[in-house]
Amino acid sequence: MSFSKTIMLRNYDGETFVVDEVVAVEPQTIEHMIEDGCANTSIPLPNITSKILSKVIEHCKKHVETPNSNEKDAKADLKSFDFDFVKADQGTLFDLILAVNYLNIKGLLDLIYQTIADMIKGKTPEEEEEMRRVNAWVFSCFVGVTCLYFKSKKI
Amino acid sequence: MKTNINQYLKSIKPTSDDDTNDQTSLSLSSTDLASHDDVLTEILLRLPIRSLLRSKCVSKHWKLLISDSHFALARNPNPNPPSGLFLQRFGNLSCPEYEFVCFDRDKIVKPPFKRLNYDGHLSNLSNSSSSKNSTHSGVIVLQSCNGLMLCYSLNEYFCNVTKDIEYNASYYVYNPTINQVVKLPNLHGCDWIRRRPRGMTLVFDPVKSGCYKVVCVRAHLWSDHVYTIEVYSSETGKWRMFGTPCGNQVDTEFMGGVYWNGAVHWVNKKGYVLYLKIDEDRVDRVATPVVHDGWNVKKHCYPIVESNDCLLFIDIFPASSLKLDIHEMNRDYSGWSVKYHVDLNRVMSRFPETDVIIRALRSLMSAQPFVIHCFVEGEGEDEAFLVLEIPGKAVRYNIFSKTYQELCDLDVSKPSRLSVADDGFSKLGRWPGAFLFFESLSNV
Repeated sequence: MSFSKTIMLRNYDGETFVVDEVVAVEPQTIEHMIEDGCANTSIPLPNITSKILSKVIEHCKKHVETPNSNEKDAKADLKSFDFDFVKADQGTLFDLILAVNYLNIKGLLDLIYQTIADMIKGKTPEEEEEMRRVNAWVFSCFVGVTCLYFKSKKI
Repeated sequence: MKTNINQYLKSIKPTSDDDTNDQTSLSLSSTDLASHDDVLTEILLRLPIRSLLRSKCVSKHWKLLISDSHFALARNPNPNPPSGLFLQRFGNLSCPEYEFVCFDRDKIVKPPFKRLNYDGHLSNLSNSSSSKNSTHSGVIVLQSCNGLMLCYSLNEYFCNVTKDIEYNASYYVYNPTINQVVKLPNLHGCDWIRRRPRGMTLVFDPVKSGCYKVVCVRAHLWSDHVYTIEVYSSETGKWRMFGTPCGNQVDTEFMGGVYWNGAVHWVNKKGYVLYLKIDEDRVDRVATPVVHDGWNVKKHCYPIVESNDCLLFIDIFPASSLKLDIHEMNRDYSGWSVKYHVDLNRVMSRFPETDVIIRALRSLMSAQPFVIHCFVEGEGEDEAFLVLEIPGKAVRYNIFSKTYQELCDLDVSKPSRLSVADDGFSKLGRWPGAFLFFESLSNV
């Protein structure tokens, strides 16, 4: 009988996710942590929310479970999963980017980058305003978070 | 947008533990800052060129990211094979037209330009009539190097002092991908140096540096045997005299310099290749694999080309034959080795219809019914090909698979008569002829 080793991931909200090791090592960051022996109790991921982490785990699981064959069906199935996966609102997508960037999951990163590039591609000059607002969002997030920090420090 | 921020802030709402709170907020803000440019760059790298150029207008930050030379190199990493070819056509001698041939016939690509004119910036005159530009000549392409092009426009004038027409030309470095041009400063005027250069060569290696150089060779007024070499650097923005004047190069054809391995190479009729090592400031020579008597750049092909970081010598057997050998130079200049044997008989036999056109154009075409415009070596071993012009068509001949594909139809009403050499080769990117197009975001 073989039993797969499981890894505990603890995120920002304090929630714990138990995943199979084979799924947990998809993110390179976690793989390195395990190699360095930091995974004895649980791996802390303080900057990722439950919602995002569960989405990421779902993606890793799907890709690990799908056999790495050249079968048309398997490939098509994976492709449609990916297609539905990125059908999220902009907010979720950007949260995903930061999380996946930190976790360093190459396949998922490529998918999200390409999705956002496709959103920008083909925009007319009238839609440049939208792009500026999208860009402004990232800055305002930084501003928002910094305000939060100062607020917590009661400055 | 506001909803998004609220959602985001809610999701990172601080817990009751104050200490965890501080650390968390700190790490979040530093993550944002550190990863922002990385993330943005990765997204921008995946955009097609047109969207990328439009994205430059979004903000100063985006413009800075996209204009960076590292971004340009990441977008088109080495090796960057050419994606098409410009063929020079002489409808109007002073303002030639350029026909664009895409190497991938399945791709529908808009030609970067058809005609060029300079009015402070280079404009694409695909639709204008020639009468508009009767006052001054258009811009003519001299050479193409890794994405940048060297062009010039003639502005000769009658001098009352010498009672002669004085040669005067402006030179430009142009990037057709991003439609950016810079006019080079005038060459130093000198009483004992001829005004008309013997040859100008653009030197650009995006892997080494985002800066480019232009090498200009001019003869002395009283002796065709003595030459001076001047080098322009985009880093300094100035021309500087190179070393001491060199002599005994009357048989070297400076019109078709080829840049490879840090040096500019020119062919000498006597059977050797002269090369100038740019950074080492020295000139040296190496023998060619074959010597043909009576070689003349205006009549015969320019035999050296650079492709995929190799220097190649293209040797066409007796001009009437359809066979050619391609030799490759060793990196240390110790000698040449034969790389390919090419037999074009098979291709030509597939185009019997060209016989009719050949007879009609007999006075204009050379002895051979085709012109070889360029040789490109791709990244993979089986990606080497020649682009031929068979009257009315551009054909790609793949050397390894010995197959051919028709790329597009060409306009035969404006023949490139001057670009056809006796042995069927065009000037391979020199005056006049065919110029390779590389996609590149490099600034000029």
